[in-house]
Amino acid sequence: MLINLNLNFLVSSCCFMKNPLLFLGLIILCYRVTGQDFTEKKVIPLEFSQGLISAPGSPELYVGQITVSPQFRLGGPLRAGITAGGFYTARRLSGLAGPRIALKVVQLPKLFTAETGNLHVSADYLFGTGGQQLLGGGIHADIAELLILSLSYRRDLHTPANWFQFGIAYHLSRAKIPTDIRSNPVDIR
Amino acid sequence: MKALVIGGGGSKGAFAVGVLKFIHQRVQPLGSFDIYSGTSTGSLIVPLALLGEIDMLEQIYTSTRNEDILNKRSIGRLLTDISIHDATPLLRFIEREITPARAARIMASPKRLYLSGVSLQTQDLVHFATKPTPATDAYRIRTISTIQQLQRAMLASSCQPIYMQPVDVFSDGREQFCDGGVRENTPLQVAVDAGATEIIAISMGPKLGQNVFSTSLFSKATAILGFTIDTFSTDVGQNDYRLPDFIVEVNQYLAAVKTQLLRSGVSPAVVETGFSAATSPVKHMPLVKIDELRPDINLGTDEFGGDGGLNFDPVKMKRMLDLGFEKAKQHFGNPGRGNLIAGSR
Repeated sequence: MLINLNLNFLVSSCCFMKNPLLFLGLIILCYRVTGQDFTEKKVIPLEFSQGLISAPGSPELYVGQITVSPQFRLGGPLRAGITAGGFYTARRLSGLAGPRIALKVVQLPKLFTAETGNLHVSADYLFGTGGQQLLGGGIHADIAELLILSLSYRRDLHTPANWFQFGIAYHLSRAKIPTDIRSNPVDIR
Repeated sequence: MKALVIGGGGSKGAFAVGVLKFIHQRVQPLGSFDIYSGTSTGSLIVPLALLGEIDMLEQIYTSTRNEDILNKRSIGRLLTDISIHDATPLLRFIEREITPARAARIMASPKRLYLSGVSLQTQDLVHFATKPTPATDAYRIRTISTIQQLQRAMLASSCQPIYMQPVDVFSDGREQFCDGGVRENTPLQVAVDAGATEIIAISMGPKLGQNVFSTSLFSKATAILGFTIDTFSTDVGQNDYRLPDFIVEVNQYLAAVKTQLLRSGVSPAVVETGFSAATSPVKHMPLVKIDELRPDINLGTDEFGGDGGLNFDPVKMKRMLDLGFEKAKQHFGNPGRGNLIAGSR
């Protein structure tokens, strides 16, 4: 029951994404209004997501997915990388991978001089081992560099179907703050 | 002996540099003090002040940006790291500015230099000194003897705990140090104990009665936590002046009594005998004057240096520097060099 409610929420939340122009317009609007730089040079979020696959004339299928998405800051509010992982649906495990790009759109308010997080949108094009060609993206809330909550929509171009997912991700690797700052060797010239 | 003492405040140090600019132009050369003592941003300023590098200080405090000082991170680092932000860029900045040649001149100078920090292991207030100095009940002295120790002491003194990581100044794995402002924001006492007779002290916060922390009612715990931290810090800053002010009053009182006795016909020998009959508690503290300079407004707002002075914005820093220059002009009037006059105690 709870899962069904969540899936219905996901479907309704992602309806605007069915119109790519509307989605693109939203990204541009957000960027123009509040775009700011990503803080981290490199991130590796490990994401677990679940949702449904909806195709005309077929029952909705549950999909669970685990991916890792190493990304590097390109400069400004953009970062790019790849997504790779696997998913489970219709009692089958499959792999997927492909390029990903993300755009930071909103900086959340600061607390004691520190950022509390950001909202960013992403676009990716993932190729599945079962022939899937998933084109889409999502909106993500990065909470204090600890967790990322995501809503995503992708269109399977190979087998026309819509994938809606909700995900939670953990930053596997972040630039560690050194516990002791080392001095540079003294230049004696 | 004259001392220059500069407190903490991050980018608000631009105010202090504005004061120094006026002092150097109209009061006395910046490098002509006998004792230099600093905390936090004051620790970044006083070594260059000792060298008389006013142009360099002005350039630094009107052009430095956030990324020159900190790798700023998210609040979540409180749960996973040693600090919220990373101060590695600040050490690189210090290493660029305090070159081996400048560091060698500082270390070789006969002038006394004190940079304050607090030990995380013992909670002691520690003054990093370039010359051997006796410790007191109130603080420890750690003598620094190498260029790297000088650079790292400047860094440690500037690293506000929680915001920036503590520093192992001597790289021996025994003791970490953080911003001396935790215990003493404007490090006057070490200058008093070192024999200063006159002190020019610069603090970055307004006097208690002039400070307005908030103009609205609080509704969030985080805001009240910010208020609590700021209140502790303000209290530390106010306390720094109490004992030195009292010493000035005592010395002025003793001098007035002596003068009165002599004018009344008491022989100088009797006066001296009388005053030496009991040990004066201020015998080794001949301080007679403190010139205290502070901004009249709170520079910790977004309009200036932000929370903790952690916002380094060249435009805002230039504004604070101009405020400091004007404050010094108002305080000292327009004296010739070496003639401190107005606003002193």
